[in-house]
Amino acid sequence: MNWGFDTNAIHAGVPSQGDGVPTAIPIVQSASFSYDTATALEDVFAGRQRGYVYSRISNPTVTALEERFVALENGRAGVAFSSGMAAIAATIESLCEAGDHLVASAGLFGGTLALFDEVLSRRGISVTWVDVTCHDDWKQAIQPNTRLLFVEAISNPRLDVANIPELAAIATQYGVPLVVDNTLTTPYLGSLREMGAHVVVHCLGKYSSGSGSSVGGIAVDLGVFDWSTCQSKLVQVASKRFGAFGWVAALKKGVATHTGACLSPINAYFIMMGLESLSLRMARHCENALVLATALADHPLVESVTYPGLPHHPHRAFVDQWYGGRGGAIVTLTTRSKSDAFTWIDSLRLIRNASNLGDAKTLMIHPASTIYREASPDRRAMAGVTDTTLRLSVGIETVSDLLDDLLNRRSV
Amino acid sequence: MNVTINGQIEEIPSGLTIIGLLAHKSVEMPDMVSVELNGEILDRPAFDTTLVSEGDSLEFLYFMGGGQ
Repeated sequence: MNWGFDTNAIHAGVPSQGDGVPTAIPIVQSASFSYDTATALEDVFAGRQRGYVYSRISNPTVTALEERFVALENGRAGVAFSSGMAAIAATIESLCEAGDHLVASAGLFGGTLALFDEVLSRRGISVTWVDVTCHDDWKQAIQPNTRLLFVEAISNPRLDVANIPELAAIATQYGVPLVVDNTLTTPYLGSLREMGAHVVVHCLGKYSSGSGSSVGGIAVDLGVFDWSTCQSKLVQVASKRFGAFGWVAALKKGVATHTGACLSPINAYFIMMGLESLSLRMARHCENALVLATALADHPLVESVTYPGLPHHPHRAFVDQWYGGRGGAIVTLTTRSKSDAFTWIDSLRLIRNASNLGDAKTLMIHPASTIYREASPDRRAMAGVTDTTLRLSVGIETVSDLLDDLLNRRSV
Repeated sequence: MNVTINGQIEEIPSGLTIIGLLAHKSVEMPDMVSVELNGEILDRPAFDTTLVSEGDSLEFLYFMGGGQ
């Protein structure tokens, strides 16, 4: 169905024909699914017939979410996971084995950094870190055993904006997929498929859910990469059988089914409900973020403000070209001292001090003492995190109330 | 002519390729189906050129086995 973005956000994945069909996706809260005959169940297990057998493998509510999200990304197919980190881990696992290598942008989210540093190294997968803006460094970092390039569309919390078309061209030139974490931009701000990216991963518990109610993740094949040329062994085998669906088949059948990081049906439901209002919320998120980023430049505790929507941000031209001038909803602030940062957080009455983002509620956190607490000094520096850094995840409240709270001039 | 598809003997028109047989059988989401021909996995590019023969045994298998 060739629907527009907002129509897909509301209708994709939910059957609409027939009498008495529910208008919201039913929550199929069942671990298993029974069949009348042993042959029927055998056929589904074997793959001869489509069907559900066990919710670790697949579940109708989760399938509906996958279909809706793939439609929003204009992708080929996708697999949902229990979290964004699970989606990233499974994507890496589908493309790499011991002895393989990947190139990643410096300044990734702390959780991803820890996964790459601590888990991948134990599995014999090496990582070369490069500056997201130094495209020659990406080329030089690619080795014969490189299996993917990994980048965040907008990095968290450094707020570098990756030039996805440039990086996708490099990836294509060297025959490896570009995997993009699109959590901060969401498919609403811009189409990564049009930019040439190959795979996107998301933490669905952020803007997609929108209410901070659920954790979830997804990995989507954007239908751009020729998987028959992929050097990853698992994908090579799957591509021979399933052609263009080779990577998704490898991800689903070769990794997700066995590792079991499945999304719960009720979380899939909440995320689908959130997606219905994604456009409206993202527009408000971005509007509020620009207002706060502009106003906070004059705040007495603030030394600097970073926000991709500000005119002086170094990547503003890319934001204008590909994201419609909308810089997302994370604002990174630098205070004069850690003490000032803590004092500011403690003074807030409306804005919550919490480790999440993309919530309708505005949240502030001191990354160095929380998300990056276990990161080494050089890893913190790579992510642009110091003791004076604060991350503001701008919500969709009345913006004057947020300003009053941040300026300590209210009685909330 | 007669072939065996997923364990069932069926009569199909002569001269079908694998991709033609998938269409003839109205297989749902054929892009997501792999095919075993006489016990051997058939590479995807061969779907367009491989002709189905009398007595062949075929298995159509979804990779979303156990789901979708």
